[in-house]
Amino acid sequence: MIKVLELLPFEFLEYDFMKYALLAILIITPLFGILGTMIVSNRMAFFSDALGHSAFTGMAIGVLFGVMDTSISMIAFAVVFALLLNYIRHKNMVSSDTVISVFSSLSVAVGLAILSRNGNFSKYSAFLVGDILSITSKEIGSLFLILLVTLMFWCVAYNGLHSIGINRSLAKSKGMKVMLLDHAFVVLVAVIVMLSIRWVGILIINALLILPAAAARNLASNSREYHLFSVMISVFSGVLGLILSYYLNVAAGPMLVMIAALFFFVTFLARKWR
Amino acid sequence: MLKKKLAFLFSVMLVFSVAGYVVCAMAGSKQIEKSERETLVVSSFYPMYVLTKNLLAEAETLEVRNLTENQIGCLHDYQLTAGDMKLLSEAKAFIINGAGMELFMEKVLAEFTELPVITASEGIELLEEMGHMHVHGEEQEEEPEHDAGEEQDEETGHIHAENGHVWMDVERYREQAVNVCAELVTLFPQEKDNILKEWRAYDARLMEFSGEVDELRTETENRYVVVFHDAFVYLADSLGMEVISVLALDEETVPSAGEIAEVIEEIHHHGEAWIFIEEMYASHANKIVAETGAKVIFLDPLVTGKGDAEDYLLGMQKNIENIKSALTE
Repeated sequence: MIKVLELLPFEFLEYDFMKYALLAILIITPLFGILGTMIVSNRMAFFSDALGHSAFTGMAIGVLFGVMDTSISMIAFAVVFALLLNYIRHKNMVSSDTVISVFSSLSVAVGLAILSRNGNFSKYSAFLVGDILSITSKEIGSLFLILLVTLMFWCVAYNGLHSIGINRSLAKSKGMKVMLLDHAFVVLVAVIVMLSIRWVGILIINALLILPAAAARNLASNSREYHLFSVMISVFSGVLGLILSYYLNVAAGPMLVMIAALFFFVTFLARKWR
Repeated sequence: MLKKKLAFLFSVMLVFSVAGYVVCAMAGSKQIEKSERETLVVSSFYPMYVLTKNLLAEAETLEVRNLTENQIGCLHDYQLTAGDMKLLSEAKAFIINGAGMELFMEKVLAEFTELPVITASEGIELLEEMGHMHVHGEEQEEEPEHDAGEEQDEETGHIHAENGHVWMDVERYREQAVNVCAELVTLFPQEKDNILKEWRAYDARLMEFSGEVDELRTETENRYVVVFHDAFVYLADSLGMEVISVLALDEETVPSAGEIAEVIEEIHHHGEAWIFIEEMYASHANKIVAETGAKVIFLDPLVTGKGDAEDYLLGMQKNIENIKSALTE
């Protein structure tokens, strides 16, 4: 793969770190493009935002217990958190956005409190913006694995998830395992968000999840188009964002989100085609 | 219909790409300026840059560049940009302070397997990172908070209980110069004579300055001091002073009320104490001064500057002057 990239006539690919970053982008962005479609159609944008913020607490717990690799504690906490949020979402007792917001702020607060003790928060501030340039080949491998898992999950569960999105009661009456599918989906999102948060950054990871799908939705008139456009926009924003960040010397994550946001505005104006 | 939409999407992408290209062209792509001297040596941050600059002043083929901007200061929260990574890719040697100062680099350096890394603080005896631990002069008790300090870097899998700001003790800084000099000479034997000559000249001046510090030491020895930056612990150490409390500050944190109260108690406990603090954080010491009448001395941890080779000695001289004037006041 690296060899193929070397043939491309781009100056920025002279450097290994940029090759790795590009590979990582080529794996993360389609992943987010696919997951985003479901998050947008099932109106879970706020949910995934809260999930991203829970990374703080996951990291803090890891640091507190002296876990070597904090991504393990982050994933573990995010999975629990996602299942909890999902449970709340379906108990229509209080307006669920308020409850999600409460939990999201609480997890940020707990995380900040623990990480900033002894005045050491600055060590973790890299997580806020993300740093795609420091990704290693091993980490790219694990991202690739999760991409395969997602694609398989999608083939099996897409129809089910889609029908839940359209009408939950109807799906249930047709004998679908609504809760199971739903839980499996949020767990997958939790794992993916936690694995990529180091590279994309807590502050903007949700934008990356939502924007390509939202832009695609403006244009698409069926599921196939929706997925296709979402992945296209996501990958393109990722690659262009990375290249621009290299030449302009800014962080890659924000650049990428800005481009995806531009797509959203352009497609929004072009909605009449739908 | 799909074709039409795809065409639309592709044309948007094309427009974005062209716009991106134009932006890059206008911003002027950040190429590494070709240096006059052929071989590039990169330092991690300011004190290492100044040190290396002195050693390479006369070297004909070697040029030192600082990885981080000279204004960055302490590196704990630094994040590498693509430009920094490019610079590292071009470098033939990378000079770091070590002792936990460049933790953010560890993962990155693992990718640059062929880059020789010179660790200036290698083999130098380090002081312990005290964080917010309070050291009682008489009792010398180990406080449980100590463990918390060791945990903090589990994130990167490294124990970071030592204080890395060694350059603030001029004698240790001299050792750093020796380390860097020795490694540079091994790596670039063609410049051996030039590097050694410059090292001798620099070392002589450092030694002279060290004599001044020793002179001052006779008056500062065994005085108590509260420091607001881990770097000042080394300066206090070289002056034989007793650090009773460390409040490490950075942009994101301010000392909590409890910590301030503890420091005040600590000062009362020891009778009197000086306060070493950076001028920009002076306000953090206000309450302590109001309560205890402790004398505040402004010091510079020497992590920022204009990039002049003289900056280290001038900065240290200034620090020593400030302490001297506190003595005569």
